[in-house]
Amino acid sequence: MYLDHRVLAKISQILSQMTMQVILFDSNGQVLWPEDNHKELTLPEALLKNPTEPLVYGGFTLIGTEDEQPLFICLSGDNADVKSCAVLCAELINTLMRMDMGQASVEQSMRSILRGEAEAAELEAIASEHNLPMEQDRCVMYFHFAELDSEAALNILKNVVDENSTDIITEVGRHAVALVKTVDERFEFADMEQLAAAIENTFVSETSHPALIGIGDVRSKLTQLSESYEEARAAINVGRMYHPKQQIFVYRKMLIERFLAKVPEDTSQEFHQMMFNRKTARLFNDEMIHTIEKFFENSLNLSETSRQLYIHRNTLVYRLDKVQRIIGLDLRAFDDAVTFKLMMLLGKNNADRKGKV
Amino acid sequence: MASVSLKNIYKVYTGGVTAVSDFCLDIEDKEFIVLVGPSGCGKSTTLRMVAGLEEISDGELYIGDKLVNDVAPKDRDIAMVFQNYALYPHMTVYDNMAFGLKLRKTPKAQIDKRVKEAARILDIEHLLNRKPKALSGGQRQRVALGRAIVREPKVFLMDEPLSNLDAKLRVQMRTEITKLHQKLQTTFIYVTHDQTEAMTMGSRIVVMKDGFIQQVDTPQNLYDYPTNLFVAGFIGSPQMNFFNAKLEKIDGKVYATFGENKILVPAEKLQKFVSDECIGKEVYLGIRPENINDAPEFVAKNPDSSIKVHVEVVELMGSETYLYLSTSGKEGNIVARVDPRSKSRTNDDITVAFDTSRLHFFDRDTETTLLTR
Repeated sequence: MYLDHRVLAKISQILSQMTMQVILFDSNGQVLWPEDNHKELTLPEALLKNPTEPLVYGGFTLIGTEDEQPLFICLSGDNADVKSCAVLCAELINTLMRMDMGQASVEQSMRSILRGEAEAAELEAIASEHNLPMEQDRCVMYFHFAELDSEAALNILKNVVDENSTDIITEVGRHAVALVKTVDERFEFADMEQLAAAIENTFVSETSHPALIGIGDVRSKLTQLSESYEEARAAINVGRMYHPKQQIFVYRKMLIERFLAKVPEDTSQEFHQMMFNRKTARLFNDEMIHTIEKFFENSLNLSETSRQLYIHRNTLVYRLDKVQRIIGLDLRAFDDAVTFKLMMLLGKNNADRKGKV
Repeated sequence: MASVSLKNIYKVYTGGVTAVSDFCLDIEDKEFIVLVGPSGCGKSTTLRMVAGLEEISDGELYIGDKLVNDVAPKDRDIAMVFQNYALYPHMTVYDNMAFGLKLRKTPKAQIDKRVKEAARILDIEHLLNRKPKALSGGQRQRVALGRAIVREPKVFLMDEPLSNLDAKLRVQMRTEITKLHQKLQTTFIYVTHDQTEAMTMGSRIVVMKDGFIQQVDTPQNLYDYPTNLFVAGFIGSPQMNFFNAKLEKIDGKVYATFGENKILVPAEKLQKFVSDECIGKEVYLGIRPENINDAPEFVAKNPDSSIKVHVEVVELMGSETYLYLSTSGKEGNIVARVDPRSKSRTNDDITVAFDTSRLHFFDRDTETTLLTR
């Protein structure tokens, strides 16, 4: 169960009143409170087996909540008073979380739908409670903020949503927010990239923290919306591996990248090194790679590329001739350009670049 | 309105790559300063440091009298216009312009006043109810400018704002931005890789290369007195012609010689040399295309600065003609910008003369100018 920032704020308020040292963490061992504690803890096996039973461990008392994926509290001390205190804390958190679930807002329900936490049977009930059409064209835009918490991001994003629309913004992680956008004749999928770019500009100018933005495909059924959500996340995960300078990734435009990400790393390196090796290291220096990337960005247009690089057209031609002489590919020809682009992308296909949002 | 002062600014990325080195510049209040240089020279990084979007590795940045190194971008009282002028597709022009102010909880009446005033300045009042889809590229760019204007910032920062426009619109918007600066009377810092934009818009230009400032000066001074070979070649289109020449004293007169050619260096020019030791040295000789003349009267009057050339290509541009010439002692072509009524034709062997008052000389080792102003 995802802990909403409002519930976390209430729990933090209770925990901050306690005079002993307290840590709140999730079932992965990630510390949720105090906020400045970024440690990851390893949970004792006995606690995971029976979370609601207080466990004394190395001078600390640990206890979990009643959830399937419980939250855990760690209190310093191991006497009977600390134990009672731990039980009381766990019960308070259980109550707060139950209250929160009981009065689920449309945002919370949407979060459950996106994260695949709502059972198919529950969906109709949720839809009817919040007037969400079961059939409507929607797609998901996923925002990941490395240095901004989702609450601050939500405050900005709420201003972006059209008041007359059925769009929903919901927090889906400590640094992540999802926007479920209705796609109709007023707002087409083609507008999504434009919207993402405008939001990205806003975040940069208002917070100086850029956002990574993934855009999933359109789904017409509420039951399939979590697929669009997963696509939006996958677009970022794959996209930033191949295009580290980019901020916006559209799932449907990343077919080649998604395909290449599935090529085993050793095969990728084997092919990449056929073109990028010790013999060609001098040829493919930073300047040459930058030139070729710009040339591809400009759809193999010599004049526009030389204008943007502020080099003479003949200098560009000379560089491309040099590449052709040494590796045998004429990058002005579409087929050769595709081959080169693929070999270049394969080099980015390594484990160090893989990351998950 | 405010001055901006960059004192010994450095930007070093993790891994040790230095993008900007020892950048020192005082930008006066209401000045239109342009940072120009080839791709990767550090101009955008410098602008982003002023905006607060990049951390400053070392040095001090002042906006007005305030040290702003650790001030958040939104509190710097600046407005940035990006290359990618993305507008919210579902909002009207009015709402797009008002959006930043709404986020800052500005009172509605004030938002309305500022948006309408900005629209008046930009001449887009009639577009306020339109959505971005119904706008042309130039109109969208004006809305993006409007978004910056409504914030009433002390400093406008513009990062290649015209590069997404087609050539015709770029020329038109260039004038619009210059007019805007005159109307707003605010400090503008403008980044471009296009030297024509720099020359036509800036009250002063900062030419950068490899993270270092090469020269800061007015457009005319940059053109007339380039401080080094890079600036001389970068500013001006077609670019300055360069020759590997030697300054030789022959019969009491100083000539710049290359191949079988020799050009008399006039006495007035000699007085401007930084040192007499330049005579006898290998130098780079530079001359701009418009200072090479093929008119018979001019050639006749200047026999000591004439050279024999072969015409490789003639390009008629309408208002002027470019001659691509070859001569002894020069690899590649010389470009001459001559009168459109020129009689020179492809494959002709002709004589052209240099306007020797416009000769430039650069040190062969340091590539800096050998002339004083």
